[in-house]
Amino acid sequence: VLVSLEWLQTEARVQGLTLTPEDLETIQEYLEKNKTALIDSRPTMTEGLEPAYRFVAEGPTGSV
Amino acid sequence: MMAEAFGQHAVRLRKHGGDYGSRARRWIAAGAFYTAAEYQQATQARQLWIIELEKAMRRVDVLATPTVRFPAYTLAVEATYPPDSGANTYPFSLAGYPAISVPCGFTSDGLPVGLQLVAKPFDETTLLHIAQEFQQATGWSKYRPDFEGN
Repeated sequence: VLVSLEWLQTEARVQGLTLTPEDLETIQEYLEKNKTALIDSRPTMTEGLEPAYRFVAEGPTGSV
Repeated sequence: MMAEAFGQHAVRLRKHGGDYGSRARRWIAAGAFYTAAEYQQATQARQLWIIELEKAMRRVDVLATPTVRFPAYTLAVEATYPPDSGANTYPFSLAGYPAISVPCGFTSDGLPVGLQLVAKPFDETTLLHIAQEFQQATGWSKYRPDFEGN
């Protein structure tokens, strides 16, 4: 478990959110899925990930 | 996208969270629980998707897809957490590409079907023009679902 229900409850309170136990359980499922996907796809190099696309010149962008 | 949606909805969600449907409330509120590092990594992944989309759009004016991957369902079904109806629309929202849904017919059960058209960034003029041409050419927007069996 990447994010416990206890942590979610505490953090929700800190952020001023009123969420039901059912809300927190579903949110926990979302977070588990998405955080796992992010862990599994962490970049292995920093080059090629910047700059933001709006600053990329027209034409071939090369490997990223 | 969850984190960005939360940023947009945070004030309203804190004051009127109960007014949201449970699915929307949970999806949006989940955005409050990601780290800055996770958000940054997700924006990098989004950038890769945008680059792929840019390549695909170089040869066409618009993309056409089903708006939703399955027929419309009732509110009772919605409460049971059916498949995500936004699966075909999120990718273009994520990329910031303008999109529109227009009526394009009915299922064999008489439920309406939508056609999603996606244009290049800031090319809403082309998008609206093609959508209007489609509507005028097909006339689907003039029909309504027949829920009464008439």
